[in-house]
This record gives sequence, structure tokens and C-alpha cells, in this order.
Amino acid sequence: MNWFLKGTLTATLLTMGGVGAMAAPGVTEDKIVLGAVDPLTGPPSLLGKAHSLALKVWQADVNARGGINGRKVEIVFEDDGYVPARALQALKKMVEVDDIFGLIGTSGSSQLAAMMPLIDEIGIPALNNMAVNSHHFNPPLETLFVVGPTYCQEIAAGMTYLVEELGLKDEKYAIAFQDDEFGDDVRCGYLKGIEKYGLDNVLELEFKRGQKDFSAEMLKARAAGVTVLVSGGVVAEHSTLLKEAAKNRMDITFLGAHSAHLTPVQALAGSAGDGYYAADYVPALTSLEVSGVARFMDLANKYLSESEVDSLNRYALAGYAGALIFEHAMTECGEDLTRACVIENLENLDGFETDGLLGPVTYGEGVRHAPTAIMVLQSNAEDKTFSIVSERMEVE
Amino acid sequence: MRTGVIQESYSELISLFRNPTQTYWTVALVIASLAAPLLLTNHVTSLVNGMMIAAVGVIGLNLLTGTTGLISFGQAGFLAVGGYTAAILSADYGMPLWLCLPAGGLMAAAFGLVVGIPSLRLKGLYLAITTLAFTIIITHIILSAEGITHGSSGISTPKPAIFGLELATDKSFYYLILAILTLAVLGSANIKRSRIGRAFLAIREQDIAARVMGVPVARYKLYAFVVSSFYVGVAGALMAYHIRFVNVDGFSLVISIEAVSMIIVGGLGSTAGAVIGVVFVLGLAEILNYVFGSMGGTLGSVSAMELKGFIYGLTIVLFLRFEPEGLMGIYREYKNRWVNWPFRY
Repeated sequence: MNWFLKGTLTATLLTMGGVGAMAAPGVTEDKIVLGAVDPLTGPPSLLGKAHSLALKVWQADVNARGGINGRKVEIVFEDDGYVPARALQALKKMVEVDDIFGLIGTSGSSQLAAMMPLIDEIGIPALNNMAVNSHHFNPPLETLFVVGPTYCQEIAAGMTYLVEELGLKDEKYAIAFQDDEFGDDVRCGYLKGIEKYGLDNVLELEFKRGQKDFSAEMLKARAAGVTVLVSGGVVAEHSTLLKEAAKNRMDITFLGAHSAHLTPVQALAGSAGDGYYAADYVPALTSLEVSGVARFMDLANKYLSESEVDSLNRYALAGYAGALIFEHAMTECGEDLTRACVIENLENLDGFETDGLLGPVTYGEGVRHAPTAIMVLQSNAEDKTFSIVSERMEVE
Repeated sequence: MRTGVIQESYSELISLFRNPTQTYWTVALVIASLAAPLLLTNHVTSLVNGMMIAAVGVIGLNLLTGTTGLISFGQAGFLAVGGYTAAILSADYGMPLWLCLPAGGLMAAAFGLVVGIPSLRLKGLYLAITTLAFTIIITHIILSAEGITHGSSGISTPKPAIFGLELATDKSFYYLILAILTLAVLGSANIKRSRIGRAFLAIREQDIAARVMGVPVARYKLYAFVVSSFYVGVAGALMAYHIRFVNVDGFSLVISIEAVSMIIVGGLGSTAGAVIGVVFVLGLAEILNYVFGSMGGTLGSVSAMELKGFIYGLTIVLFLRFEPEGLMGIYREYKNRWVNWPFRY
């Protein structure tokens, strides 16, 4: 082989190698690999299953539309069982073995907190649309974007609805909250409402995480003449409080955060669960008047089995909306898809719309939290649905 | 063909290795352990790190439950004490790793003493429930003492570094964990071969007879709790640096149950069995993850994930039912068959 040929071959190989080296992880000519860590087993799988199914729906839809700039999307799912150590291990595996480009499923609050150092170290674009906590964005990580209000913001908005729309200004207010950060966050929103409207705060009931019996708490509430109760429980606690209130024949207006916006809460509460309010930033699955929900449900019925559709809940809508945000950021990069480009596009989002699934999404330089507008939904126990009863309220 | 293991002097009797074959295999294991990070990927090294950390804790549990016969479901609590101690000292007070690790162990050992004293008169189910209650109490203390433990927010730990050498990667951290595991194994082996270890065994076999023979049962039960808790506390401290985040969600009761299943699957009372049990139980979970993930389709569907947990639990139960002496029992049986072949014994 002569020198000219050798030189040409060497130059070609070096160029190819160089191109290969510059391509973003998880991106090939025809594929983009994304990762999602979700609790797919155990009691928290109520959240994780719905979230992962929504991502599967989005994946099927975006690929049916031709992918993102011609590249098909592949999502790798890992189950962390809601354990922080497993969440971190799952992320390590996805980064090293699956070579993911970005992360669109970040499990729960503690689980994401465990993954944050690695997300920051690797610089992988990540979107949290499942469990919002101030530690996730305060201080902000360059590559971690959080969408959705905190529980404090949700309950504060819910309190605004109770007073301004329902006229419940002269009622006796109380809160039952869990003795952890979640409960503190809910209480924060409650106290903001109390202070803003000068409401009568007659009782604050702190309960232990995992508590199942609230008979003592509700007896105290009845003795105090409580007429509005804000619930700082996770899921089952809402139902138990509602049933205890019904058992004590208490006529109570009940408000919970988005964790109360779940069919299992209604099912557990039975008839006692009729009429309670939940503050949330996504609509109900049955709110087909919202174009984003109608579109999602059409796709879900197309790509999922009947039992999978039954597993969907508000976490599916949050997940789907998050995927749309990430899709937009990737699409805007065109052919030259890199992590830096996606991060820049996410940062530049200003009033991004998701067909009514979320309020307008805005980030900015150094701003990694988009606390989208909140609405209040009311439970219909008879048909186990939720109805939107308020306009979207901007977060204060 | 070797006809038997014969010790002809006292030094041979107390030596760690009974024959040259054991020495050669041990040397091979050491070389393989040292070379492993060079050959394994970061992800697998991270898994191995997790296994080694679990092994440190399970060796401690083995001393308490396997050797002394005191059943304990308090491992999650001691793990939390060790983890939070290391996290608080490193994150809030800037103390170095080489202080935080033993501090985690010592704090857990102190709690072991607190748990051990009221447990002296308890056995079996009652002791199990008492130790289980300890884990619940620790969880509530962590959530309540927000000023110290940061409550439910959890604590992010700094990158591990020892004497100026940063151990931020899994491969570099591997060697520190390996060193601690080696010390844990040697420590356990020496305890079991000492007067203390013989007292533990006597208590396990029949504590009343042990007392009659002059073994101060109460004192040695406390030793067992303290030593075991120290091991688990060190494991908790290592875990805090490995995950770089501690939170009550990571110290559930399931960890205690898994730890007990590891020593039973490995072989009660055996240090090697404790390590093998860890590898088997944690490895099984990873293998199932891999198989279900690779299959895709129906097996990879979300609903099938629960099947994975079912298979995992069923495997442990079948193992306990049909191989009560654990993996070490299987190893001994096949080793004897090999050594004695073609004879049966």
C-alpha cells in the first residue's frame, strides 16, 4: 500500500473516530436513548407505573410521528422500588450500560436527591415532573429542571380558592399534617393562606408518618368545631381522615394537595370521599375538554391495554407533559443533538404550552423550577372522577 | 488424594489456613479482588461496592445471630445510626472520612449497648420484636431530631477522601471498602476462634449450660450486641459515602429482614457464608432485573415487575426450605463428596 493511500486511510479513520467521539451519549444517527427511574414495584408503584406508562405512550406516539428529527426514541426503564440507593444504582447502570442521553423519570423526592450528585457530575439533562421539593432546585443544578409547584404553593392556591370562590372566610380551619418534610410543606401553604386572609386557625394536628388511625385526631377536630380541614397526608391518610370525619358526622370541607387527586383515595374513602377538593397542577384524566388530556387519552387507548389504561392517574399526565417539554427541547436542536443544546433550550423556555396539561412553563438563567399554575378539582365519589372547579391560579 | 486434615502442633492448630490449598485459593482471591476494578465496568464495580458494604454489616449480624444465636431485626436501625453519624459529622462538621467511619461504628455500638441491656432476658420471638421496635424508634428519632438529623430532608454527604486522596469514583472507593471488608472478615474469624467466640457458641447452643460452666452470659450477650452493632454501623457509614445521601427512606424494616435472609441463605454462623449470602441475595435481584429488562415485551411490561419480586421471594423461601444449612452447607457437602470420592465418607 503506497504512502498516499495509507495517509488517506489514516485521515479517514481519524475523522470517523473524531466524529464518533464528538457524538452525544445516547444519540446515534437513528436513535435517542432516554432513561426513566420509577418505583415500579411495591406500594409507591401507584405513582411509578402510571408515570412509566405515560412515557411509553409518548414514546410510541413520537416514533409514529417519525421520531425527533428522524431519530427514534428509546426509553430505558429502571425500577428503584422507591429506595434512594437503588435509584442511584439504576442511574449508574443507565449511564454506563445503556448510555442514556437524558433522564425523564426521576422517581420520588429522596430518590432524586440521591441521584442529584451524579446528575450534576455527568451533566445529564434531567426533568423532574413527579415529586417537587425545594432541595431539587434550591440551589439549582445546571442540568436538572423541575416542573410543577411545591406542596406549599399548591395548598396556598387551594386556600385562595376556598376563601375567594367558596367564601369560606369565617370557618374554623385546621390542618392534619405528617411529621416530615412533606407535611411541613403542606403546612407552609396552609399557614400562608391563614395569614393572607386572617383565617381562624383552631387546630394543627401533627401525625406520625405511616399512621393509620386518626380517630383521636378527628375527635379533637370535632371538639374544636373544625369546619375546614387541610390534609397533609400522602395517599391513604386522606381517605382515613375523610372516613373518620364521616363517622363523627362532621360537616367538613376538605382540601388536599395533588396526592389526594387519585382514584384509590376515592375508593378507600367510599361515600365519605364525595366532594373533597384537591389542588393540583394537572387536570383530571376525565377532563376531556382539555385538549391535552383528550389527546393523551386517545393515545393511551391506542397504545396501552385496558388494564394499563386503568392504571393511569394524574402522574401519567404529569409524566406525559414532562416528556412533551423534553421533546420540544430536543427537537429545537435539529440534527446536532447535544446535551448542552437541550439544556440551553430548556433554560430558554418561556411560557411553553402543553395543550392545557400544565400551565405555561418558564425557566431562565439560573432558574430551574417552573411552578406552573394550579387548579382545584373536586371529587365525585359516585363515578370516581374529578372535576375541575377553578380556573388556573398563578403561583404566588 | 488427601485423607484428612491433621494438625501436629499448636501453631498448626491455631493457624488461619488449614492446608496449602486454602492458602493458594486465598492468595488467588486476594489477587482477583485487587484486580477486579481494572477489569469490571463502573456500574458493576458500583454493584460490587454495594455488596461489600452489605457484607460488612451482615458479618456483624452473623456474629450476633449466627454465632451467638440472638435473633435481631434491628440492623436497619444500626445501619441508620452509622449512616447518619457519618453524614452529620462529614457534612455539617467537615470531619474527615477516617474519623467518620469509626465514629459511625462506635455510635452504633453505643446504641447496641442500649438495645442489648433490656434484651438480656429475652429470647427468640420476644428478642426479635424488641430489636424490630428499635428500628422503628430510630426512624422516629431521626424524623424528630430535625436540628441534628435534618429530619426527613436527608443529608448529602461530601465526596469520600482519605488523607488527601479523593475516592470519588466507584473504582477508587472499591479499595477502601475492600480493605474494611478484609478487616471485618479477619476480625470476625479471630473473634470466633477466641475465648469470646467460644462463649458466643456456648450461649447459642445452650445458654443455661454455658452459665453453669462459668460463662458470664449477660456480659457476652452484650459483647455480641456491641460488636455486631459496630460492624453494622461501619457499614452504614460506608453506605453514606457510597450513595452520598442518607434519608430514612433508605433504612426500612425490609433491610433487616433481607439481612437475616442473607445469613440464613449463606449459612448461619459462617463468616464466608455471610459474604456468599450477600452475593447470592443481591446478585439474584440484579439478575432478575437484567433478565426482565432484556426480555422486553410482556415480561418487560410494568405489570410483570411484581412477578420479579415474587420470584425473588420464592427463591429465598425455597432455599430456606430445602437447604437450611445454606450455601456453605451445599459447599461442604460437595467438598466432602469430592474429597472422599469414590467413597461416601
